[in-house]
Amino acid sequence: MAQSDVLLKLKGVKTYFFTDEGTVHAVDGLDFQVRRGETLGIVGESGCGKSVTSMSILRLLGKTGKVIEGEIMFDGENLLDLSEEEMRKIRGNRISMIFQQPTTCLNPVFRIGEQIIEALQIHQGLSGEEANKRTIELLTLVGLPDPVRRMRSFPHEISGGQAQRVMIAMALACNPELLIADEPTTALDVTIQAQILDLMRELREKVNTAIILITHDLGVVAEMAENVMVMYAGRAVEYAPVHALFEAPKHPYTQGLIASTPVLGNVRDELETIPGQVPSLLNPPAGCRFASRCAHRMDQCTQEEPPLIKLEGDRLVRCWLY
Amino acid sequence: MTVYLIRRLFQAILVLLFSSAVIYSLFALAPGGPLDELRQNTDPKSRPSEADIQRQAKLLGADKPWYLWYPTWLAGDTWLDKVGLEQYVGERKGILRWDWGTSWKFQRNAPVLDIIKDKLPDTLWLMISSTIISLVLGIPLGVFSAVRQYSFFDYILTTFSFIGLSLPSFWFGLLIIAVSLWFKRNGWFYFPAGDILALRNYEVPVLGTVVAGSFLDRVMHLVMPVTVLSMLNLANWSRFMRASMLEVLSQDYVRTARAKGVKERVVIYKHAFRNALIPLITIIVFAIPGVFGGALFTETVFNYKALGFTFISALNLKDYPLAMAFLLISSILLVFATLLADVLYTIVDPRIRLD
Ligand SMILES: Nc1ncnc2c1ncn2[C@@H]1O[C@H](COP(=O)(O)OP(=O)(O)OP(=O)(O)O)[C@@H](O)[C@H]1O
Ligand code: SF4
Ligand SMILES: [Mg+2]
Repeated sequence: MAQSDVLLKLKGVKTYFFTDEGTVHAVDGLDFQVRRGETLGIVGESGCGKSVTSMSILRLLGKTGKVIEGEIMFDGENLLDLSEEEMRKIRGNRISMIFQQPTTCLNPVFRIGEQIIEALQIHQGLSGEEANKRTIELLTLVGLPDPVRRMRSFPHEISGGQAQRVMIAMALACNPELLIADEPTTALDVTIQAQILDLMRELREKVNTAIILITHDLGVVAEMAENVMVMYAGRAVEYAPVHALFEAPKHPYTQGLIASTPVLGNVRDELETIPGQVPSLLNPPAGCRFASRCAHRMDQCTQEEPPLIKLEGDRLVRCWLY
Repeated sequence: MTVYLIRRLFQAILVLLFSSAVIYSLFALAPGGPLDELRQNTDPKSRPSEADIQRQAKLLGADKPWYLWYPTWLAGDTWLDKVGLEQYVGERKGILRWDWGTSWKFQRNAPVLDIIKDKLPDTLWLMISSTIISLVLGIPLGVFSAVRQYSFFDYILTTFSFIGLSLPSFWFGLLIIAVSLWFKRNGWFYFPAGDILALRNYEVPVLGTVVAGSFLDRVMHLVMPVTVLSMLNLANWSRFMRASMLEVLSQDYVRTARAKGVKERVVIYKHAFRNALIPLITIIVFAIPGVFGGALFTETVFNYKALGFTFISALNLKDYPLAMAFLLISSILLVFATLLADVLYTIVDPRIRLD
């Protein structure tokens, strides 16, 4: 039972970018798993490797990036072993993704309908009347008003919130088992954010998709996720069920995050209030990566990196305090 | 759209009136005036006669008070009695009524419009074939090089376009003329190095006798100048296409297409290419005035006497009516190209609306 219950499992994943300035250790040994139908939140400040993690799963890192180590098991298969063609059949079909800037994510020269139909065509071979019907269904599902007319609109003719609805419709077109949402609400107005989150919750019940929700808004995580992984400088530093995390954050970094978020659901960049800077990913420090900003730092911290330590209640933390 | 076009047409007419005034002043109002300068010319070969000077004065309207100069040049002087200036009535019809004057050096007494009409076909052969070749090769090369950025192919193309852009075209022209002559001397296949058509039949290895004035003869004469012209355009346009494509490939919607499971080939040729072509409209449309103007240096190097050569000669010979006609037609085409570009943008880019 336990085995088939796990949809996605990352083991020791390292994703590096080979640039002129040197090797960027964007994701540096990451383990986590997502069960079927589960919503996992990934939080962490800008540049900690959240987007790179999701692009590693979809294998869309571009020419300079590469997963150099580890396994990405999806439904029992290592995605890293698949051919490009096999991988392509998974993208947009079994694993889909939505992004931060919905308006720039739609191709400006094609009609909205065409862009959704394309996904249906690729993975389900639908075309003509059938594809049209399904597209209208999807647009109705995501609550886009007047879907028949909207299908013929161009992306610049709709608002950001509507564009995100279209992106969601496109992502759900083939009933994916996993939806990766990379900051799906960050670029939207507060009221629209709430609407999109409501929509995602509602759809999660209806289609039973597992969701990886990437954000740096802890409020969004509290509302949406069952479990949370906190990332810092390319590493997971804490993993916990969402209530446990908010009740008793263990890692000093998580504590800082939560303490500096006075109102849940607030959109400001809550990370400004932790003093200090994220270490360079070109040359990660030897010991604990948070050491330079940590108030509880001990001698041991700068010498040796702490392992992920198992705590009671399904929690993991990477800190010498435990 | 219609309202917009009518408004733009009015603007275009105003712009053209203005540019005609500028062109007129360039020639008519240059310090000391064109007539003085003509009289000061000491070169016996290009020195205009007093009769020429009088004719130029008439064409420019300079035989009248200053405020009638430009109106006469533009609209003629046959109608001046209607506004109470009987004493200045003449026979000039003005450029608006196709009286563009006659050449007085390049082809003495030939109407300038006839000269231009005469040279136009040869110019179009040269310019259109090199434009098409450059586009047909330049666009795919640019796309290819962008898709394989930093590959060996990309380095070759980038180097090539750098060389193509920095080599003066007359230098490159002379180089291939020299090579062609050397081939000819060795009895190998060669392309004729000058003129538009041959006067006499000639023998070329492989092809045999080429009949003077035949289509084959024309093509043989086009190969070298077209090569030189295409080099420059190819370098320019493939670089432009490469940059445009690279820009588009880094856009979010390209990532979306990949994340949707679109085949990489389709990502490039449907999602990216459609967008990358949009800025190319400007380049293609603004090649139109260039096609009319011909190729100044290349025509001279290859003794290909089409419009570019004619313009240079008109300037050198101080054949003002001819030179003015060139500038005027070029500016008309330029204004037309701007309008065309705007209309084309609305067709290919749904974000742009005319209203
Ligand atoms: N193509 C790339 N080349 C080099 N470095 C990269 C590339 N893409 C990402 N990085 C680096 O990897 C690190 C992680 O980036 P990532 O985009 O995953 O951050 P993030 O956690 O998603 O941040 P944000 O909240 O700003 O989206 C950053 O330091 C970034 O500079
Ligand atoms: S390991 Fe040390 S430095 Fe790192 S978070 Fe824990 S206490 Fe702070
Ligand atoms: Mg990101």
